[in-house]
Amino acid sequence: MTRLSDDQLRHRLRGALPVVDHATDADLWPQVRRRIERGAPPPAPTDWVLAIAVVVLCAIEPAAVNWLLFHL
Amino acid sequence: MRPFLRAYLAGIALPTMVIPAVIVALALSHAGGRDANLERVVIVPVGLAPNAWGLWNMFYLRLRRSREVPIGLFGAALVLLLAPAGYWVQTALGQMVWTRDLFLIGFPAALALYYLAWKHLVARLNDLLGIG
Repeated sequence: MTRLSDDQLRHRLRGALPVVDHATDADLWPQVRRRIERGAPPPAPTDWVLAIAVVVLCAIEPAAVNWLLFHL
Repeated sequence: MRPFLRAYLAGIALPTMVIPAVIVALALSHAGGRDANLERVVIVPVGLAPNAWGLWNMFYLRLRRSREVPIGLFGAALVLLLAPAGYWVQTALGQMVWTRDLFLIGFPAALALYYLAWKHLVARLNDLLGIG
């Protein structure tokens, strides 16, 4: 039986196991934080108008809210 | 994490957060002691809508590889699929909660709401997850 030194064993294990790319799975959260800090562009004026129109429609006919909720 | 899994998670996030409010609202609107068969009414918002949003966002990601697609309009188009599905489920279960008048107001409002939600919230989540 051949006895291996620690270095030989380490070398053989590294050769036998697949290489893991730590860079791909370790840095996701910092990337998300950077994107959060970057912020989102403000809504366009037409989007505000549309949002107000939805609120007005729901105020005119409150039962329509049920219809909306049923969809989400 | 795989892009399509990210797209699914970003898609289901908003309806999943809204659903508890939907259930509470529906329960309160039927809180009169009468039997409203609430479990039948919430089938679409609980069972269908979140998965539809997730799958729709995956579809959006797939389409965007080959062409530029405005996410707001793409999200609003989902109403055109969910509305018939919701109508069919209500008809099949004998629990129709929509009326003609409600539809005339609710349908355009739903289109607008979906447009805004997809353009600003789903798009933002996509961006945060690196697929925007």
